[in-house]
Amino acid sequence: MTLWMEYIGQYLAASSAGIGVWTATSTAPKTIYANNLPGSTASLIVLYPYAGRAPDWSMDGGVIRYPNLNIHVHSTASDGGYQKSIDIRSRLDHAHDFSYPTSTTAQIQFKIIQALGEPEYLGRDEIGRGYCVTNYAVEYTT
Amino acid sequence: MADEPLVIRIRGVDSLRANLRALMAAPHEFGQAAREWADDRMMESQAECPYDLENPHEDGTPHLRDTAMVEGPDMSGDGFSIRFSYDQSYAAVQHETPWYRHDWPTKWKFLEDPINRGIPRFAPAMIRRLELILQGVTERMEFTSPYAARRDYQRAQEAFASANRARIGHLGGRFV
Repeated sequence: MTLWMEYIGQYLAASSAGIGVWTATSTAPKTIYANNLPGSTASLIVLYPYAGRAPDWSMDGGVIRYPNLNIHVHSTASDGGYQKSIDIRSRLDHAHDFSYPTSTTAQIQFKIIQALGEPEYLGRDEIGRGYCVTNYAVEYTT
Repeated sequence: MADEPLVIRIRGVDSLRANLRALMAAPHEFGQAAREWADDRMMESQAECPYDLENPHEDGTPHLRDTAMVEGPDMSGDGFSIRFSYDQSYAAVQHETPWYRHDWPTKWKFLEDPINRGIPRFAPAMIRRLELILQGVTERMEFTSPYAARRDYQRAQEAFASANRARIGHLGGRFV
């Protein structure tokens, strides 16, 4: 079963701004990952879910969930991934009312995604790439 | 038949006046209630804050956990703000990096998660304070410094240690 943050990974990859690649092809390696920092030394994006707020129950028995998402950009670029983080924020902040998967019956409806702050540069990771972090509040129903 | 005057009696005007007078203190009281809520969150946060047991900090700098601070409420306009902080240069990196190894219950997001967990308890705390105002209950917790949460955390840890020693005594007999 595809997890909600994996759908957000697909949503980022679908951007025309060329944010990154979710499904690798013969010419384009994967650069967006979920909940897992791979051993690759290339520039990449990792989506980490974490506990947000308690869920709400709607009158029709549905559940509205409010997880948070922590997005790390590890980058060999001179700005340490700051511009990429801005591109991601432009794609995600206030993205609303979209569903996944798009090819079959939708399983998740994203109500809204909101940035909780500006991208923050945290320094260098263990292999010398710069890394930036931005947090998002996600609201979705299933 | 002579016209009789229409008399409407409104009871409880004195109580209404008293309640309205008491409610004038509501913004300040809500700020204090929020501070109590915030101190509870910070104590949860300190329990989850990473603590380097292998570094005794002999240079005198405090452990990250010991820099926890709650400040406020700062009343401004029609609202108030409360500030949570940890004061070490590596605090943000520890807070935002998921792949560092931590011993349970310490973790990343050691401040944001306890606050988010406590949000459902915020509105009930405000309602409870409103009830106390209207009931005329004036006994309140006193705040003396922004270090109150830190001090209370230390006090709580000492109480837990004492309770644990007592439990060990019960389990192991009086020679333990």
